[in-house]
Amino acid sequence: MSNPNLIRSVSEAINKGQLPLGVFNSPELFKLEKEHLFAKSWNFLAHESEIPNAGDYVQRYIADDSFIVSRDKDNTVHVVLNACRHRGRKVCSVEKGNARNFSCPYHGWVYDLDGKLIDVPYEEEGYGKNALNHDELGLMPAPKMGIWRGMIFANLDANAESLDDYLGDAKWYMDFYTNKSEAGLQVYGVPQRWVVDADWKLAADNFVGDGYHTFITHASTIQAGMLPAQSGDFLLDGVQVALEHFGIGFARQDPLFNSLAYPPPMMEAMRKRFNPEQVALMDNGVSLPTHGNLFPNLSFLNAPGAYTAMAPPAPYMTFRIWRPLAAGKTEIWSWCMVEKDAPEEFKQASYKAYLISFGTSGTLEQDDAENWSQITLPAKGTMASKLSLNYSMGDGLLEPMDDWPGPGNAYPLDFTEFAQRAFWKKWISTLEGK
Amino acid sequence: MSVTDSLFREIEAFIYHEAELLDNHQHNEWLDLWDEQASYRMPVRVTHTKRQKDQEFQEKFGHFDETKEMLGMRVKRLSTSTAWAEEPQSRTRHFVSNLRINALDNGQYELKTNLMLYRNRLDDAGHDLLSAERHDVIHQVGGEWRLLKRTIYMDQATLGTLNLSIFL
Repeated sequence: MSNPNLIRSVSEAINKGQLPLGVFNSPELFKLEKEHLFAKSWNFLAHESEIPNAGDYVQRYIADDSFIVSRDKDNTVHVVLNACRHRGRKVCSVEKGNARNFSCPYHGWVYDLDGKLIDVPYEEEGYGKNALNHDELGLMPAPKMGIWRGMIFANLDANAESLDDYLGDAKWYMDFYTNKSEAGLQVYGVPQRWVVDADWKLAADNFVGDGYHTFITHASTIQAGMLPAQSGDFLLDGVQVALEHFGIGFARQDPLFNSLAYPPPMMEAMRKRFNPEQVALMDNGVSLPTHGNLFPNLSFLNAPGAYTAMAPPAPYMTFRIWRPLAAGKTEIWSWCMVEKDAPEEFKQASYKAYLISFGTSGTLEQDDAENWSQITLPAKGTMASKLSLNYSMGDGLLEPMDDWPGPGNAYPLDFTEFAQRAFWKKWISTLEGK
Repeated sequence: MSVTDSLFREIEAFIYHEAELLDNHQHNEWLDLWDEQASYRMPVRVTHTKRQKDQEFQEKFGHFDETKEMLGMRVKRLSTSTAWAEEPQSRTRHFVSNLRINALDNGQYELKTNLMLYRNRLDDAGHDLLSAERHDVIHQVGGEWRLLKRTIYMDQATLGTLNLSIFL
C-alpha cells in the first residue's frame, strides 16, 4: 500500500473508533512518523537539573538524531545537533559530562559549549586566511527549543508554534506534577535506559488513558504489596481528561491515591502553590493526577509505592520518553523525579518506591512492557495487521462533566478511552500534515 | 588475604549452588541464602569520557537497590500466577566464573565473579546476553554461608533486555 492510501485507510478506521493492529509494527508508518511526526513535535530531551553547572552536558535523542544539551558559561542552555560540520562525526560520544568545549576526534574542529566553531586545525594552510566563516559553521542548533518548569524541549520544525503555545491547556494539568514546591523538581540519579521490542505508541496509549488495565496487568504487584491500592480497579471511578494533545487520569475512590501518599505538610505546601481551581479538585475528592501523556511520547506517572513494612508508602514520580528506534522497537528513558527541597529521607523513600514499581526492574513496568511486546510482535502478521482493535469504551456512554474546573473534556470514569481516542486522532492528523 | 584450597572450593560450590537455584526458579530457597541485612545493588552505568570515568557507576542510583525485604516482595510477586513478565518463565543460565576471594579479618569474605547470563523466552530462537562483574560479601551464620552484599556492575549502559524480572 502506498503512503497516501495507508494513511487514508488508517484515518478512516480511527474515525470509526477502530484501529488496525498493524500500526504497531509497520516500517512504512515508522518512516512517516520519523519525518512527519517526531520532526515536527515538541520533544522532551532533558531536565535542567541534569546539567546544573557551566560546562555540564548530556547527549539526548529525537528518534535517530543526536543532540548535545549543554549549559554555557553564562548559564544559558543550548541544544545543538551532535554532528561536526566538516564530516558529520559525533563530537560527543558519551552520555554525560562536563567540558570546556567539544572537539571532533576526526580532524580536530573545536566547538564552544554553545556550538560556536572556535578552532579549525591548519585552517590557514588548508583553507586560506579567513576563508572559512566560523559564524556559519557552528554545530547546528535545534530549529526550536524551549524550557518550561526546567523541562528542556526541542522541535526540528523551524515553523513550529512556541513550546508555551503547544503546551497550552496541558500546563494546567502538568502543574500538578511540576509545581508542587517552590524549588521544583530534580532528576534523582540519571535516566535508566533500556530497549524493548514494543512500539512507542503502545506505551503512550497506556499512559495517556488506560486506567482499565491495572486490575489484571498489575494484579501480582498489588498482591505482593508494592502497589498499596485497596483493589486493582483503583482508577475505576476516577476522572479521565482528554485534551487534543494531552491526556491525564485521576483516582477518586482510594484514600491513599487521593494524596498519592504525599505527607500532610507537603500537601499543605502544594495547596499554597496551586491556583483556586486546582485546589478545588483536591477538595472535591479527586486525587492528585496519576498517569498522563503529552503528545507524542512524554509520559508521566505519580503514584504511591510500598517497599517496606517499616514505613508508610511513599509517593514516586517518573517522567519517561518512548524513543522510537525502529518499527516495533523502542528505547525507554525513565527518569525518577523528586522535589528538590524535600528532605533526603523523603527522596530516598521516593526513589525506593520508584525502583520497585517502575524503571528497568520495576514490577509494574515489567508487566506493562510484556503486554506491549506481546502486541507488537504479532502485529506484523498479514491477517493480524488488519485486525480492527476496539476503541469504543465510554463512547456514547459518558458525557463530559459540566462542573469540572479544569480545561478539556473530563469524564467521570477512568475506565474509559476518551484520552486514547484523542491521542490517535492527534497521531493520524499529524501524519496527515493537518 | 588469600584462602586455603579447601575453603576456596567450598565458597565456589556455594556460588554455583546459588546460580542453580536461580536457574531453577527456586526463588524462596534463593532468598534464604541472603542475610537479614542484605544489600543487593545494580548501579546504573553512564558512559563518560575516560577522564570522568570515576563517575561511570551511579553510587546512589540503581537498576536494583534492594533490602532483603524488597527482594522478598519481588519473590512473593513471582510466586503469584499473574506476574506476566515471568509467565511463562524466562529460561536463564547463569555462567559464573573468574572467582576471586579476599578474606577480611572480620570473618567476612569479598568475592568477585564474572557473570554471563543467557536469557531466552517463549518460542523466540534469539536470546539476551547480559554480562557483568559481581562483587559479593559473604559470611557464615550458624555454620551456613549467607550473602550479605552484592553489587552488580553491568557491562552495558543501555540494557538490552525487556526488563529485570530476573536476578543476577
